[in-house]
Amino acid sequence: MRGVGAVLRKELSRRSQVFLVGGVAGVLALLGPWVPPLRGETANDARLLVATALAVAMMAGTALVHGATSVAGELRGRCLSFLFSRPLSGTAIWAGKSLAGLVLSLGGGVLAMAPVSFLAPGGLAWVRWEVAVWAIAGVVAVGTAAQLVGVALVSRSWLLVLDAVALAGAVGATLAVAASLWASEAPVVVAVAAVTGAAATLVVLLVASWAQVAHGRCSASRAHGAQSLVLWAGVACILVPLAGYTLFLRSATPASLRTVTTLQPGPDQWVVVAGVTRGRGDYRPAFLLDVASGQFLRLLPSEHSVLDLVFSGDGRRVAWLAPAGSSRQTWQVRLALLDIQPPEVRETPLVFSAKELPRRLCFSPDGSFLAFVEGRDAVAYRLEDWREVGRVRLYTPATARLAFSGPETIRVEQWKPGGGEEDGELTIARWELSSGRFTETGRVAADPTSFHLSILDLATNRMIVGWRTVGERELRLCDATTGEIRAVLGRWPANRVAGVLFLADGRLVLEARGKEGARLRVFDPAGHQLAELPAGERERVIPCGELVRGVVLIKTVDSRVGEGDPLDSPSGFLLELETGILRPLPAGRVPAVCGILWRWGGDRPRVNNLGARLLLTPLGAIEVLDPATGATRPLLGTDGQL
Amino acid sequence: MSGSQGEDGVGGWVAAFSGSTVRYRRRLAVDGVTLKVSRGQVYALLGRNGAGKSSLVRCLLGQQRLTAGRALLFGEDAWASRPRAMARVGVVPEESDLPPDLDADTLVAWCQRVYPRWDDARVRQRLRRTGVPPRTPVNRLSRGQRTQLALTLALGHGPELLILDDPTLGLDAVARREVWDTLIGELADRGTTVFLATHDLAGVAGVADRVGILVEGRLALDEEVDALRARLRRRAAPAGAPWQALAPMGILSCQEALGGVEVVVERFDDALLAAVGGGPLEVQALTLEETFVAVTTGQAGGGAP
Amino acid sequence: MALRVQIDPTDPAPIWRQIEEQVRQLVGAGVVAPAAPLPSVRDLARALRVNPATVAKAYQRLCEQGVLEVRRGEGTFVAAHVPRQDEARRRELLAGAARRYVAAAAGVGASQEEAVTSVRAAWADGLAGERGEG
Repeated sequence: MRGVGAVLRKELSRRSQVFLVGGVAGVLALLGPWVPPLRGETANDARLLVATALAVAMMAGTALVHGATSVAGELRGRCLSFLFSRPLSGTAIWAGKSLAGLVLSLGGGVLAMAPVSFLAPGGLAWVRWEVAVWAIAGVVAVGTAAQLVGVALVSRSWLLVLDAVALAGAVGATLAVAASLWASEAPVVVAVAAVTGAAATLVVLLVASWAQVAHGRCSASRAHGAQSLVLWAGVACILVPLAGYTLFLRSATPASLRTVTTLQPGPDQWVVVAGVTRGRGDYRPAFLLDVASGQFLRLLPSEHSVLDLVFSGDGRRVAWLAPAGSSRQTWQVRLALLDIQPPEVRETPLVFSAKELPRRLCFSPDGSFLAFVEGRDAVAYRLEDWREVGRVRLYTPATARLAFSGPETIRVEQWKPGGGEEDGELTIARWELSSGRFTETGRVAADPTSFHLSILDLATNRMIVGWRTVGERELRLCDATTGEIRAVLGRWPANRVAGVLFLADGRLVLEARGKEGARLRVFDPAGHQLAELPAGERERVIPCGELVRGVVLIKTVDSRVGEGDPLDSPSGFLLELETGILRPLPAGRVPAVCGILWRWGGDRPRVNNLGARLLLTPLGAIEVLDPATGATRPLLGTDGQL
Repeated sequence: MSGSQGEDGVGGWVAAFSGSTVRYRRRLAVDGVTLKVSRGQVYALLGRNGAGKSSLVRCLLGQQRLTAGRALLFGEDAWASRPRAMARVGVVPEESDLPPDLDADTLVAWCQRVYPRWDDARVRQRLRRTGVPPRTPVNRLSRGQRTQLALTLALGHGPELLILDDPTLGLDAVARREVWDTLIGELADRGTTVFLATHDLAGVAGVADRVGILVEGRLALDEEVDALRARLRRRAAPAGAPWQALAPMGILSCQEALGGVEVVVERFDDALLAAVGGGPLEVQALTLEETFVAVTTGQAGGGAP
Repeated sequence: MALRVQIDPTDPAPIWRQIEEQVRQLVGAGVVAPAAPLPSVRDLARALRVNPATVAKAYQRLCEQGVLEVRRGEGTFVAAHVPRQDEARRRELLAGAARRYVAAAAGVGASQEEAVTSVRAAWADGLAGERGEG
């Protein structure tokens, strides 16, 4: 320690003028209000701004100059032997010199800040430990890097070529790893990797500068050799694990999923899944998975991008919005299209600003057109040649829903505001792409405050619209083209749309809550009630899908009980409509597509399609239900294997 | 070598090289040098520019690493034991390595803190006597003052061994004399062991006990000064005298001089001379300078172990 | 106090012996009086620019021979009673000097008579000068 002190003292006495300059800078900062560009600021702010700028410049400059000269300059001037011919260890010499750089830089910075801080009210607000940590880290990084570069330049050996090559390699590898990590859209993973990498790099820089002084002693070429060895070995030790982890991150397969958080079933055997995997932090890989064969395709970096994913009606195509390559700074997205047979992802030329992100993607029945809401407009593209084939202005883009009612005909439903806040109507229009004609075909009174305005069954041209009366909600069955009311299905006291499911034969089922347990009402296609079936002891029942004709998958939940109550967790059943027989699903399983994974957006799955067969386990795994036997097979997640 | 026993170096020797080799890329600067510096000895290492003197000095100081062989200080490896050894060593390098912007006062005060033992009064007195201004930065001192300051600082902690790398290089006659004066004074007071590399043959001639001469990195000669003077002799003979009879003494050179010939022999022997006899002949010793020239031009040597 | 000692780098004798001989001669010739102080080892070494150890060795030998004596704390002095020089040694020195002279004389091509005459003349001059100085 005495040695460190001695070296520190010598270095400080050589450069004590830094403190003088810092003091002068501090006094100069008081003239902040007279700096022309800062005329608009308050005098206080102007002084603080100038003082901060001067302090940062002082610290960076001092760290740079001291770092570049404290060892390299002495090697060049052959003065380093003065210290090495004293009873001072190499470590003490290194520590003394490094500490001197730190003391000079921070001291200069603090002196530059001091007058303003003490004179201005609240001027001491910057005195926080985070500021100290950042300042020290910055000064150490700049000073040490300058020290290494200085010695490398002074030695003028062939190692410089090696350094240049290694530096280029390290920068390239870092950029590649960073780009790959960044594209994973996992902020926690990126942050942890960045902080760990930066801290490890700082340590490597320090060790390299120690090796340079302690091992290189008075020889520039030896110092250069020592620092290069430590530096590049250290950088490799950082980059290799980091690159390895990145590869591990990106190598996730559906089998590595522990918990499925997003599930988008297509009409047949393909499903899009995303979720949490072991050891990959908040990275949520997404896959297009063939449930039958286990074949899969990595879709996108992460789950966030597949939220707007949509399958075509025939299940042959998938479309979604992906980050648009390198132009991430302007935050652009590109429409991505996937043809499933054979699986091939195509980058389309359709690029959009993230500000007006396209929403409500929908395919034409054969997948040759794609329509969506973009900005204030509804637009349609022909996918064959990416030509925009139509564009109409919408009243309220946020409420608009698009659905192809024919090969080139789109049904557009949107809220048309009236005079008052809750006045207005749900309008229905027919948009013909071939002629570009946009005709309003009907309108219906609806409740604009409900989460979704309508539930549509295009096949039978019917829709259910919620209407709020005082303290009650009424569900009405309407014509999907004209909006004409055909029947009133019922009234509920809660401010929610109850569970509704259209069945394949035109019937529909509706939730009916009751104090003695939930019940399911069955209606004929015209809206007349056929039956009311008990559906377990819980408060609510949600019809989720039709497994085979006449057999409905339901999920029952209870909001009346507290946590830990056996009734708290949802449970699933198969309800046979003709007999009213209720068969429970295996322990804790619920239908996946109307459970927590179900998202509003597309139409609900049809009879015996893939979505109706997927079950969610309490641990977040996915299982496939065999309609014939009622047996389940693990598919994805903790309990599942492919 | 028998000396490789007793490596504690306490009573015997304080510094030693054994098989020391220094290589810079392709160039062999020092080639298998083996020598020892005994306690109390003044060892002068001579050699032409680039002969490898400074490389050896730096290796002994633990500032440079040998490519092969060993450099020992006080019986320990010079590279490994450097910080400990430096507490017992005073150093004056070839070129001043004093921090250029510090003055003598600051440096003395600094050294006082670095060394456990420091004779401050004596250092200040010596600086006054040699006329080194206390408040002038090193880079504004004359070369002679700088060397005096370095030498004074090197002596301040009463080192057991002084290692000097051409301390009189580039100094004028007066400054050179002052350096030797200071050194002789130190030798008289404390009997310090000295290992010095030098070009100042006239200055070192009376001071050195033992001389080593490096020729292209090899130690061509390593011998006590007295033995050297006894061995290498010059004999003047009139023209026509039978100088060939001196052949058993090893004739190094034979030159025609004014009115006769001058024969330099390698192994002078009184008895042999008496046996040869013949005329009023004069025998002289070679000066250190002549010895150096003879050895470096490849005429004499063989004294190295 | 200066001492008229000169080191001849071409003299084959070791330096300590040169100092020893010259001091002995100075004392023997009475140039330095008995009991007179001699320069310290340090001062003489500085004056001659030789290693103090060399001077110390010469002084020590002279002390052992009784030519000099060391008084503790005061320095080195010529002995009060300098022992007479050993006759054989004296002759040897004389013969050596004669040989060097003859070599020099032969070098300038002088005959024996010329050389002897020159010695006589120099002797007369030298002693006259020495007396004149005294």
